Amino acid sequence: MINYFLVPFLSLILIVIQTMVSDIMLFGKIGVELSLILVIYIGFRLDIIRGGILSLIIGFLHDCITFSISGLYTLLYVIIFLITMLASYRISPGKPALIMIFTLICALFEGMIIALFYPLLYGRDISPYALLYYIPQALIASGLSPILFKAFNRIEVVLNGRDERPIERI
Amino acid sequence: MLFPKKYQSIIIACLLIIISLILLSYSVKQPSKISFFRRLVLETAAPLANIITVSFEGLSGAWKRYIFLVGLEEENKRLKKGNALLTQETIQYREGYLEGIRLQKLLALKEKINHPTIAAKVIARDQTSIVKTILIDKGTSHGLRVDLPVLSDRGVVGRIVETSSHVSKILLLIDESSNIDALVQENRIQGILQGAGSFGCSLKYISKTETVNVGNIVISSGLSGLFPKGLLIGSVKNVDKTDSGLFQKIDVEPFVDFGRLEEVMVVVFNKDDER
Repeated sequence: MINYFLVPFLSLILIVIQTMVSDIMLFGKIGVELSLILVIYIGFRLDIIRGGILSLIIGFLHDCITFSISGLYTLLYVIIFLITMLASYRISPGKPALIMIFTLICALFEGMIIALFYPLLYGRDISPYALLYYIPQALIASGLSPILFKAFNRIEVVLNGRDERPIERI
Repeated sequence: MLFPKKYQSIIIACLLIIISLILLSYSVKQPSKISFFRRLVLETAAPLANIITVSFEGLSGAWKRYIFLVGLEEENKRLKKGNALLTQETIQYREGYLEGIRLQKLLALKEKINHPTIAAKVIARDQTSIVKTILIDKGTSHGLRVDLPVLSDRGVVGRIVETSSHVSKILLLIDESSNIDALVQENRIQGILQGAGSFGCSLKYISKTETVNVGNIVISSGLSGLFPKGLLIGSVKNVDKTDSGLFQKIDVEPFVDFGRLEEVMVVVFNKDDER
C-alpha cells in the first residue's frame, strides 16, 4: 500500500533532479528526460491500470514542475505509456539496443508532438528550435535508457522486496 | 466487472486519454488559474528542489573549480614556458646591448691609435695559476704575432707571448714576468712597470729624490719598442719611501679589470714605425 504513495513521491524527486541537472549542469540548453524513460519502463513492467495511473501522475507532476501547460505532458506520457504497452508485446525490454532505439523513437515522438501543439497553444512556431532541443534530448534519453532501466529495476526490487529478475511484465 | 474483460484495456486507455485531454483543455481555457493539486505538487517539490539545488550547486561548484584548476595548470605551464623564453630573449638582447657598448668603446680607442688594430674575443682565462694569461680567438692567420700589445677600452692588457693559427696567448700586465717601460704622466718620470699578481703592478727603479704622488697616471713610455707611447696603464695607489734602498716602492693599480675582460684589441705595432 505504501508503494502507492512512495512511487509518486520518488517520481517527483526524479523530475526535480532532472530539472536541476538540466538547469545547473547543462545550463538549460538540453533537457535530460529521466521521467520519459520511467514512463517507458512502466509501459514494459506494469499493467494498464497501475501503469496508466502512474504515467498520468508522472505527466501531471512534470507539468507542475516545469510550469508547462497542465495536461500536455500528462497526455503525452499517457500516450507514450500506451504505445509502450502495445510495443511490449513485440519488443523484449531485456535487450539494451532495443530499449535505446525505442526510447529514441518515443523521445522524438514527444518532441514532435510538443512542436505541433506549441503553435496551437501559444501561437508561436518553435520547430527550428525544437530540432536543436529535442534531437539531443532524445539522444541523451536513448543513451541513458539501458542504465536507467537497470536502476529502475533495482528500485522496484527494493520496493517490492523481491529478488532481481529479468525485466518482464508483472 | 462493469465492462467485458475484452474491452477493459481499451476503455481504461480511453479514460486515461480523456482525463489528460480534460486537464489540458481546462488549463488552456484558464491558464492563470492554478489548481489545488498543482499548488500541492509545487509546495512539496519546493523543499526537495532546494535540497537538490544545494547539493547540485556544491557538485557543480566543485566541478567548475576542478575545470578551472585544470585550465589554470595549463595556463600556468604555458605562461612559465613563455616567461622562460622571454627571459632568455631579454638576456640575449641585454648581452647584445652590453657587447655593443663595449665594442663602441673599443672602436673609440681604435680611432685614437695611429696603428692598425684587430679586435678579438677572450675565449679563456687563466688567472688562478701563477702565470696570468688569457686566450683570444685570433692568431697568425689574422696577422697576429708574438710581442704585439693588447689593449682594452680602459688601457693596456698585456702582450702576446704565444700564437697559433687561430688562437693567441696574452701575458697580462699583472703577471710577475711582465715588464713594461712606463712613465708617470704628470712629471714624466720613467720606470719599469712590473706585474705583481693579484696586487696589481709596481713601478720600479724610480729614485727616492723624485716626487710621485698617489693618483698619478702611469702610461707606456714607448721606449722598449713593445708598446706604443702614451697608452694608459694605471694609477699610483701607494708610494713608499721608507725602504732602505735607493728606489721608491710604488704600487700601481691597472685601469683594466682583468677578471671582466671580454673583448680586446691587438695593436699591429711595428717598433720601427714608432721610431
